Amino acid sequence: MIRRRSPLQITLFVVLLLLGTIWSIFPFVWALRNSIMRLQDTYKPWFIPWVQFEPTLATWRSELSGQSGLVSAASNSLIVAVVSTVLALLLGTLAGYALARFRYYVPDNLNLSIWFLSQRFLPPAVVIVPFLLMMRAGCQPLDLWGLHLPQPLQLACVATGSRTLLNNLTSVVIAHTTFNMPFVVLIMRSIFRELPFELEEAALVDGANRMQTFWLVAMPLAAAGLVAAGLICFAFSWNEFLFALILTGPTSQTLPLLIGSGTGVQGIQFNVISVRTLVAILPPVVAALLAQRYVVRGLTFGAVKG
Amino acid sequence: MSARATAKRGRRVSLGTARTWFILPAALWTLAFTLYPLIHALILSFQRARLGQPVRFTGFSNYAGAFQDAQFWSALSFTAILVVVTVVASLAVGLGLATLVSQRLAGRNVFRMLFMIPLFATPVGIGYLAVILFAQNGPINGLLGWAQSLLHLFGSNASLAVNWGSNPSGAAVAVTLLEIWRWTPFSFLVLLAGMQGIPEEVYEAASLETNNGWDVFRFVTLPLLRPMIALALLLTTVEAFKIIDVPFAFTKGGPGIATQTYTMLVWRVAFNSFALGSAASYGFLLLILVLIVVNVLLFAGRLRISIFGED
Repeated sequence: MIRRRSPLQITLFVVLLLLGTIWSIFPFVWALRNSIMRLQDTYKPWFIPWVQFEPTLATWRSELSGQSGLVSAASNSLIVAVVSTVLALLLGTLAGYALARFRYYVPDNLNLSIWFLSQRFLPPAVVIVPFLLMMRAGCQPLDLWGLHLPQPLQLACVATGSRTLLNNLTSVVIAHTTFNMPFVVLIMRSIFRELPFELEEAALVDGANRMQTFWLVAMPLAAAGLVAAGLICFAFSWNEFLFALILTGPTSQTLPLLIGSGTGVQGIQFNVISVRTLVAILPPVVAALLAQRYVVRGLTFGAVKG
Repeated sequence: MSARATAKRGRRVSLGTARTWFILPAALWTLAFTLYPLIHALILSFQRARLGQPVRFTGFSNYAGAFQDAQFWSALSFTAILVVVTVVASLAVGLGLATLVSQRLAGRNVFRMLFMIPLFATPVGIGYLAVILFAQNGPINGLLGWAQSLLHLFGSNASLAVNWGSNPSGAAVAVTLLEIWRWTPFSFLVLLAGMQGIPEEVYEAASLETNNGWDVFRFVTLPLLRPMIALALLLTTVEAFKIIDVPFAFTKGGPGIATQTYTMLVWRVAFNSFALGSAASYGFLLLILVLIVVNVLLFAGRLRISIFGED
């Protein structure tokens, strides 16, 4: 808009922006305040460190020392998020490229895209029970009318050297890959569609096959989008609660579960919760901020370029 | 036919079996971990299945049981209200924030970044922060206390502080506020992208007609944003039906079952009562509801699902 604004309008504008900022980040600021307070101070309406209260890093130190379970839960979360993101990127990028570049007939491209999209619409509540049963039986052969058929999940058992997939990070990785993969398919599809085909065409003419063209020509061009999609997947997986709740045990707890069980024996300790929450929130927020340019495209599965 | 000649006929040329190999891994993964569990859930929903007991086919009795379960109706109505209020309110606030940030101003990107943070913050963490924020002597009640003393100046005796944790409607309001807060960035980002996509010439043309900013917003911006609004509405609705983590951490569904969402109920039926068949039928009822709502929204919003995959 080109009109000049009156001082009154500008003041109103600044006030509204400030209100928006407070609305968006106040809870985190309050958590930061609690995290550097002694427990008995957290009930006071104080705000300014050194003036109103003496800040302390004691809670941060004891939580990060490794005895509180925070460090091991965070490393579980990190493993799950990284492995499931890599898997989702691998499966999803191939399919996304395929939907952007090839024509399919039965089912056709549109139906395939809608099929991937509809997986994101599926409420996870529908599949938690069968998913749990599948992971519980994960290391046994499939029992089909008395026949014991080998099944692919047994490979995961052999690979991780475990006898069940429950209480084990593998099952969480599989769950997170499953809900992140359709997301990658749709966002990579929209990214590949914007790349000019001519470069790939030139590679094909020079005798490269489809896989080589994909890895050596298309992928480098789509690298920025790929990284962004990976960062958003990482954030989704890091934050995920329901599947982690049903699939993990005490030793394989991810960070959201540790926080979820965080009331402890002495009731809710505001300073401890604040530290744990801030540790949990930081990585996905940083990931999302790094992926900024692709966030809107990701959230709308490629429908809005952003 | 040479590769070049094939390539010239269109972008999507299929050469031999390459296209199958590209899509096969994702397709197989989907069959194994989405379609198979879905079919298994459908079968389970017609069975009496408890962990460690023999499975028995019982027809529609799980579904009939759901409709006689008071918890089912309570969770369903709480979730329905939560979805509607969250979606509408977060859309409204998001529209407001997007309008602010879409103006010409220095540091626009900084505000865009700040405003998107709640969407990516770990929901369980938000739930626990809420315990602190809505505590008896927490900042929210502190703010209400100020408002109260302000009202006293005008002669009102209204008492504003709420015991959020133990009052059922207080807890429901608090959960709803949190969800609105969490989903606002979604609409904000989508609508901001939409506003930035409106060409400057449109506004120039509008400025010839009127000097009133509100009229421009109402008759130019809003109509052009309609597809974006419909899209944000659809996607936040779908996500809102899945809500479990914030109330799980904040209120554990309480007091009583006042803030028990539908997903939380399914989890409890499955893993507290171990009634796996019932849980599957509860899950399927939610799926049917979501399908109906999505299709109504697609129809009413004149959105076609193919915008995600136009070909």
